[in-house]
Amino acid sequence: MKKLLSGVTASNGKVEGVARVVVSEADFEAFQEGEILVVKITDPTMVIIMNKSAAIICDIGGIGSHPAIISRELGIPCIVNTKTATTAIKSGMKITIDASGTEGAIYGMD
Amino acid sequence: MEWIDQILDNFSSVISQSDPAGWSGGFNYYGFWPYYSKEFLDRLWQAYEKAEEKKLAPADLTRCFLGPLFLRQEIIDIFFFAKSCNYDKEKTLKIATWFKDILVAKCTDDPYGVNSVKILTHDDVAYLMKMFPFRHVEINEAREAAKLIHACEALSWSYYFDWNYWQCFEAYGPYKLPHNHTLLLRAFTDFAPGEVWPHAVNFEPSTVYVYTIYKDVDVKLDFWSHVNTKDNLPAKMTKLLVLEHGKIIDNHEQLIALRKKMEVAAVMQGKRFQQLTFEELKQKEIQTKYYTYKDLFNTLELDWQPTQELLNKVKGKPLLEFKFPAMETIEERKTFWRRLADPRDNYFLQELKQ
Repeated sequence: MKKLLSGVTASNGKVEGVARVVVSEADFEAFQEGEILVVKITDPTMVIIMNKSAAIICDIGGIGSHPAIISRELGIPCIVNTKTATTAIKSGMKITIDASGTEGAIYGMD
Repeated sequence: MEWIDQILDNFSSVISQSDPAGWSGGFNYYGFWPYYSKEFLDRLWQAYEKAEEKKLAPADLTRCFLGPLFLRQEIIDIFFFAKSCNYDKEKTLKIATWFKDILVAKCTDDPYGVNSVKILTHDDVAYLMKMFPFRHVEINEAREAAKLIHACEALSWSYYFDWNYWQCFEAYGPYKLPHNHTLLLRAFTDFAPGEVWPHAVNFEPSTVYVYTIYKDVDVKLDFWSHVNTKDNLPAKMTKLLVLEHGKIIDNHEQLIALRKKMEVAAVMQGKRFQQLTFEELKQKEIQTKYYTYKDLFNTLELDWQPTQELLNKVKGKPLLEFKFPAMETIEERKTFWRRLADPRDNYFLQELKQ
């Protein structure tokens, strides 16, 4: 596995899955149940895709931000403040998100 | 004024967790509030004087506020508003102290938000556990409940903005139960704010209450009623009770149906919110702020609506331009926010003075 990037763990957990980069509302429809949501930052209009997510990765945000609060409620891993998740990760990539420590890491799976 | 220090400590702890430099675009409230801070504080002062005149004690007014979060954050807002318009310091402290007294009367413990949000007594909790028909839940239904909570939170934010949602949503707890169980309550109390969003006047359900019991979790609620834990809450949920407008949700299928309904409502309302023009957003923010005080102002026989003069005043005005200072560490951010809100400290961002 190759480490792609890291950020701040906002909600604990470890998950493998397929990434889906969401840049605009046009990307919502393609989001499948159980995918890993990769987004600059979340907002309330993303409620349906967030509820489908196995994990959430954000470019910005902190442990008190929207994705952090929601992820802890949903019991899914979340890493924020990665700076470049939406450019470093491509939709369809198989990734592992390891949010078990204070620093969370995202790995690309071969 | 030890209570001011306690409130400031807890507020600055929670807000310092994120770097404002990373707050993405949009409507920056700090650049807007100074435009109406004086008018709003004048209305609060009127309310304070009316309460005195009517000899209404703080405990008589607790019913006008959903919960501690509302009061905690409004005290901080009062301090900020006052500094932005050089409001009379004596009046500011009287209003804030009045709110503090209502807050203390409202809370059964930890009023200033160290690690909980509690409005129920031990007897209340014991009664609730005895009388409420909780259901045992497995993981799938627990996850469904978590998704429902999320959908309801999303709808709250889409009606009330990020900075007034405590009119509609607050989480309470953690309440310790026997055998290492923990009770949390999420109360969603106003999904039909027709005075601010006319299309919502008949929305149902107007209220949703979610009671969840977990086993072996370490959970705290912060100053802003955010649930903080390293535990996987749905995985540790053992019992659930959901009330949809007072009606008990009896089974998994009903829970899914309610969750889907609230998700769709949240998406639709979120889009309405995003489609507001800048001028509409300013009007809506003021209307929402005053709406959250409707119960208080009505109780005191004051008009709760903002004046047309105020709504006209902000038309055509851009947000005040300012920059947060560069703050690399959490400690730097704590210091900044503490000083910004502290009524005893003259420090303020000059660009936000009106």
